[in-house]
Amino acid sequence: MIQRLLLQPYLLAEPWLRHSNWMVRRVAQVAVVGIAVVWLALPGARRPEVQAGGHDDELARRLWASPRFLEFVNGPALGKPIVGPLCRMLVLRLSVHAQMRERASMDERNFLLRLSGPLGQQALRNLLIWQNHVLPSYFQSDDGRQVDIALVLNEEAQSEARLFDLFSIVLMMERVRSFAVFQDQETAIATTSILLSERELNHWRNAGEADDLGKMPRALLHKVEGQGTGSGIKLLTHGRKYANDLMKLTLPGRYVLAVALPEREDGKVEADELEFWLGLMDTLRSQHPQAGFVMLNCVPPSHWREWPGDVRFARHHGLSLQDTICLAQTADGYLGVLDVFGLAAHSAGRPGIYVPLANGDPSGGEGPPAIAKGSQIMAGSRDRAAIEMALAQFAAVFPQL
Amino acid sequence: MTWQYGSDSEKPVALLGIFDFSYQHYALGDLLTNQVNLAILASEQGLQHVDIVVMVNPERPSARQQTFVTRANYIAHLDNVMPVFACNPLLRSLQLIRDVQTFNFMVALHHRNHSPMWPDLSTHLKMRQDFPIDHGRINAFHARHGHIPQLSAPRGYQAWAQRFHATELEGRPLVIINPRQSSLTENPTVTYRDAPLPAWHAFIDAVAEKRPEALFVMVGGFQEWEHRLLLRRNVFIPRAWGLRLAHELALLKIADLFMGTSSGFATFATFTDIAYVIVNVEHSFAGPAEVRVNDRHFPFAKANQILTWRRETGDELLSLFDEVYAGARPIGTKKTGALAVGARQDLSSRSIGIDTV
Repeated sequence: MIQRLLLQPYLLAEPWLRHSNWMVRRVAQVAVVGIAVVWLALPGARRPEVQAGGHDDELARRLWASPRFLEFVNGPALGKPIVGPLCRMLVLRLSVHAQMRERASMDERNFLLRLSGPLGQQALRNLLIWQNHVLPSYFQSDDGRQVDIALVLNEEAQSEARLFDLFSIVLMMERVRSFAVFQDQETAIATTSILLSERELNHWRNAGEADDLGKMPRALLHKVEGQGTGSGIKLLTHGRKYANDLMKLTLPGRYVLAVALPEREDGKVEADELEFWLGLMDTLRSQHPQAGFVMLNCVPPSHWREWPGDVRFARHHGLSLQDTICLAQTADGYLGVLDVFGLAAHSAGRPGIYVPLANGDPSGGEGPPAIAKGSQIMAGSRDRAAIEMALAQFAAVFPQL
Repeated sequence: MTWQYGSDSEKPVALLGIFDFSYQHYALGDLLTNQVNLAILASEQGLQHVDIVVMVNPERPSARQQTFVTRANYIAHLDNVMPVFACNPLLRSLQLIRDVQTFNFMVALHHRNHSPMWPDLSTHLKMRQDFPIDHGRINAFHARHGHIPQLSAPRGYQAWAQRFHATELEGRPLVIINPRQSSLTENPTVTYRDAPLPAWHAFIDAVAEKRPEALFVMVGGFQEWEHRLLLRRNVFIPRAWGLRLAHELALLKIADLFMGTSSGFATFATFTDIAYVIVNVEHSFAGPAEVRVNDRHFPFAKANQILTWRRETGDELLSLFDEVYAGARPIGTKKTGALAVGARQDLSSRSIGIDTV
């Protein structure tokens, strides 16, 4: 009853909250804050139950839906000694109402993933594949909304030094809003159950293989290795800057190819692969002297040596993992595996050679490498003869500068 | 659907630690000190674990004092500091939240259910936190118990550090250094407190003669060292090898000695067992640390954990090194071969990249 009485004056005052005239604006702000404080004091504000049989709080819904009101309570007023805590308490209570409404009406937003294998190059790549291919399958109509992910690591992954590479990648993913890591599923559920609807909780308890970053369905991986994936990874402002700085400073005037290769468990490049690809770079350079190369992986101190003058190592020049992914997106071309670098480069339309990350021949001998799109060559196999053939194809379509 | 969750009779086992960057700082030292504070709070309340929630509102990603952290670049700053949270010795889970509604919902329900939480709701609503973080609670805990909780290497990185030390760094004694060099960063502040690099370089060269087995590990942002440091064969720079804060903290945890200006890395050393020398401590920090200017130790420090309160010289660094290093490890008899880490040749281009912890 009182809520309904408050609603009318609120509706009258709200449109004037950002009026250009100071006096009009201030009067409206005082009125709305006054109404909100009365609402805050009402018992209903502390009982945001909107399940069947419960009543929705129209005033709370209106307050939370008003960008003008939220801009005001989240604005400079927050810094004021008395008004600030009041505004924040208001936002807190309104958030609870909004969250309860959302839980009652929306599709899932919280997802539990597992990692049954090591936390390495494949698991990092699989997180992007999950976002782009598995996640949409959970929605009746995918509106591209952002989701929250909880990841349960197995013991093996907990002892590996890639956890913060995982966070780096998550922070770049377009559809991941919040992210949590847990040691076991029980802790994950106990800790976050307050945020979950019954439907989400059931899904968590029955999560399948597609939600295991260590066991992505083979058919899905095969599809990605043949066609790449959609975008899904942001080009960060600072990353773009540092990537461009590196290319301009160290390889000016070159056609820069980003290179990413299979990694060991600790994230360092596999030495044997590096040697093989250095040979390929040499071949390409002999035909196209304007080519320059930026390695995206790290090399351990014990494998460091003199490198050809047109090969640079981005991580050793101070670029972070995020910067390096941006480099894959912005370089002139790409050579290497379809890990997170490769998928980012491919979806950014970089020409180049894209090789499956896993060993073996997923194409099952179905035929020669295919040019999927323009000069993006999907090698389809880690077989070295196939990669050399792909290089010959790429060299033939290499741009003349 | 209910407002309550769990059972009221269930005794909580974890403390919820909230780091809301709309008013807390992206500052390595303060975040690390708060990890120790959280461990103490949990311990004093009989809780076994700490669950950490890191909240960033993309629309308001930083406190007013850190205006250089913006909507456009907050991801890089956040990415830099995330490993700090994994140093909490009681850490059970780590959540990164970027949605105000979800975060407020979680805080409100925690408060409603009387679940233990830091900061408490009242402090959180005020959006205030004093800086620098003082040592009051830590000193009091030490006075009562005779010890303090130690920071851990970031989860998962301890084993890496041991492997890396044994294989890539040939098991040499590690001396971690972090001379402040804010003037080389993108956001220089209080540059008069920067370390005198010529003195540090002379010190490193003098140690190369006296203690060739010692390997200096220069930690900190990629921008914060001069290129000539790479020419020294007794220096290893993790960031020049693609390593990051988590790796640096893990190496620091297993090091023989830390020497540096008072900074985030110095804070990490402060809350571990390793020998350290923190030089040129800010006089204004004496109050928050509950010590007097020129005191040689924090109240909870050991004999080989030393503070100095004036600008360092090369001779003084050497003298402090001799005092503490000798106590840390006897002179090694192992003959050290040519170290791969000294072989870097190609970093002649201008330093680029970020790292502003």
